[in-house]
Amino acid sequence: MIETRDVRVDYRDGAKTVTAVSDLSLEIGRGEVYGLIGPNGAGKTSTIKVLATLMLPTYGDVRIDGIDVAQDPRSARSILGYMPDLAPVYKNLKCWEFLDLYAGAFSLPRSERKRRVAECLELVNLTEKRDTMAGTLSRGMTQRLVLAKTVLTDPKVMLLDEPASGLDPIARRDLRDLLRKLADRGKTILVSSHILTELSEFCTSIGIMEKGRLKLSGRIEDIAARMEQKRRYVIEFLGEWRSHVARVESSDGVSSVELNGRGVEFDFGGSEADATALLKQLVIDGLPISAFFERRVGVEDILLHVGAKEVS
Amino acid sequence: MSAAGFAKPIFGNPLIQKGRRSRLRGGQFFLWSVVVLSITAFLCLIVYLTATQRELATSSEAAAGMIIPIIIVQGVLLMLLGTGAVASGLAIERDEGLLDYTRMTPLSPTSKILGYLFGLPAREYVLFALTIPFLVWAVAVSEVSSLTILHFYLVFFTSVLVYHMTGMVAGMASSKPRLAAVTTQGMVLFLYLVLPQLSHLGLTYFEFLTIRPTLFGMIQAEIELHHPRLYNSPFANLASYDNVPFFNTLMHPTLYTLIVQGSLLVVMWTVVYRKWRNEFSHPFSKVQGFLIHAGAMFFFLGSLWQIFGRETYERIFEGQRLAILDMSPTETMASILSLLLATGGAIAMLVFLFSTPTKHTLVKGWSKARKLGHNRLPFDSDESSGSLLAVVISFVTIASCGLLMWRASESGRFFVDAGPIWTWGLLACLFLGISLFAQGVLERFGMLRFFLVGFLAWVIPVFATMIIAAAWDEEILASYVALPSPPAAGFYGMFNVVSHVEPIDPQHAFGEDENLDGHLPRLVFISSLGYLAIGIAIQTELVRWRRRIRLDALASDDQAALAA
Repeated sequence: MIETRDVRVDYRDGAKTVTAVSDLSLEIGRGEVYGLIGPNGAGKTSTIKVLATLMLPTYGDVRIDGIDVAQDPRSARSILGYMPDLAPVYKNLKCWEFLDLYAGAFSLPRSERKRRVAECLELVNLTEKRDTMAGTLSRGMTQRLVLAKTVLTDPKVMLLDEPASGLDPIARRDLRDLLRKLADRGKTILVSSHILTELSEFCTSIGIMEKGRLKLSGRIEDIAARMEQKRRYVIEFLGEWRSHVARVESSDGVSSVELNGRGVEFDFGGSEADATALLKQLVIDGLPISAFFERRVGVEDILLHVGAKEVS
Repeated sequence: MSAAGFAKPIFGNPLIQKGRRSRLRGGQFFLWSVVVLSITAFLCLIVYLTATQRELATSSEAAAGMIIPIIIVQGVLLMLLGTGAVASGLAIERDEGLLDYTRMTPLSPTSKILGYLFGLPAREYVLFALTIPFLVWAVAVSEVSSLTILHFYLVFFTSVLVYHMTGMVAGMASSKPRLAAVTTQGMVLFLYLVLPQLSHLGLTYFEFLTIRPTLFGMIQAEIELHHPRLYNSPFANLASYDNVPFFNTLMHPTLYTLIVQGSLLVVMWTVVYRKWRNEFSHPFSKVQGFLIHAGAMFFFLGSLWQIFGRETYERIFEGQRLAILDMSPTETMASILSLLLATGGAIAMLVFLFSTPTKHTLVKGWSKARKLGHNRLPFDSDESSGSLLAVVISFVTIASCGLLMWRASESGRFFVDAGPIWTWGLLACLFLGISLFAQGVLERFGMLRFFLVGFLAWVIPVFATMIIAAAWDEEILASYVALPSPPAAGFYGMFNVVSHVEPIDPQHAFGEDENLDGHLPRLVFISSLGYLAIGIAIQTELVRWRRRIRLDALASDDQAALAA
């Protein structure tokens, strides 16, 4: 759905020319939620602006749903939704007027506009603010209003640049739920953030950028599979548990044991059947096990693996 | 394009609707409406009642006297406030990032331009509409021809569009709303108060960028026709509405206005269209810059053509306009040619400013060229050098002056010939040297240093000259001190040409004063060869610098590839 090849973006910083993005090549499939992670200044916003047809790269190819954005930006725009960092709104327009403006600009039939605007306001829980001036909304509500604008035309691809910046924890949770809802509808979403927890729960793919370069990109499972030489398991115990650690450590196939507060985490070299057998043996041995599960590799693990330590 | 196709981007344009909704809302709009209605009513009443009660004018005469004040109010609303609204509105949207939303919509650039053009000044258009009843009443009672009024509004709205497009250019170039608004409003005032003065030296082009000829010429004449007593109105004789000399024809003033303003509108449209397509591109390409300069010179030549011919000499030279300058025809010719040279130079500087690549553009260009496997930058791309443009523009400017001189000698009225070739050669060297120098400094050292050099080398000598001339009356010394300043050097160069031409009437030959006691050729030699040497030197340095940039860009790409 999104494909870039050898994209480079330079910008001017005073007298210097700075390379914001260098030789970026990535592919994002249809229906994926792609998290672009990187510290401030990593090149995330420049990448999104190039994808959004707002900036021409110094060189490189960018295709959205097969459309070359440099050759045919108008066609690309008709399938794109874009939400910038600290998204602005027209302060002198009411919420519904703000959405109606873009419904008109995207040539939604007049008969459909009212319904679509109402649907989008409902989606972001702003129905009761329909007639409120956009300039009087709180930061969180403003973000939601702009998100409503982004989904207004039912775009195939959504580009969200730091959508949670400046939001309080509750607004951040609401936004996350909303993005999850959109992801469930099959949208291809590229969301950038420098805050790891924002993305870790609902991304299907990630890309890690540092200093303008994409250090790693792909589906989380694929990356995890590449990383996983051994499965990692967690055992939690009831009551006093420290005395049981040695028993676990001495089991076949167990290595790299770490304490985690309520039990242990360890790498296990065997198959799933071997893990079941281990559990059975530990229970027979009288260990008060309350939980035994395999820990999936998360975005944080990947980051630690890659070594992108600047990302929070 | 069919009428429906043309109307589509206007009617139902969401950006116009947005302007209507956001700018016609609430207390601010109400306040503005009350202010405009009050001021218009006050002006109408004071003109009407003063005329009928004190001057015992008829109701019809008094109503006729109201027309121009109402139009001035309308002009302030649309031309000053409306232009400011477009410039600041666009700058605000650009600064806040709202313009990106609009860029992201699939609206065509034409729809976007029209949307902002009519949407941002929505309030000013409605305030304008509030003054129309006053005008309709005044026209109806005064018996002034409605057709003349409609004719006037054709020109009025063309001017409004030109100014609003200027505001749009400023708004898209600047992210500082106040600066954008003040700049364009200042430009409108400059256009009305300063540039029309150049029309007294034959450059009628500038007069017709405004509504002055149509308002103070056509409308005032129409009013006087019906009401001769209003001949002494303060608006009488501010401008004339005669046919405009343009090459060998006399053009109807309205047609001329529409052509002049239409050409400017096309230039503005091109700039805005390019900016909509790519925010980071230069306002115009090198070829467009050349066409703009050549087009302007064409209009200037057209305006001056008849002055340098035989037929209209009496009318123009010895008429009201030029007689006040108290100069002989030869001196006037030299002054006009100097003015043409200076105006051509000023436009050349604007073209250089808007089309010369920065170091950043150059680095980007070479990175791209390398990636695509090209050995050179595309000829008309933003990143290509402006040196060739400087040469071509210099040629066009000098050729225009030469053409006028040839015209003056051909007419058999003023000069025997067009002057010795060496004088023209020196003038060409001077203009070329200045162009290469200015363009070279701009490209090599950037805009800030360009302005610094401009101030130090071009303005300071003029100040020093004025001090020397004022304090010691040392005209010769002052002339040498002024030489680094291009306007002064150009003036000497042009006077040097004219002083070496043999006039048909010996009485019109240049005297010692104009020749600066024989120093004029020396002044021109020094300035021409000096500027040419500096121009070539800076261009040589520029070539070296561009080569270095190219190598650095390629090397940094190689390093990046290795790092990857």
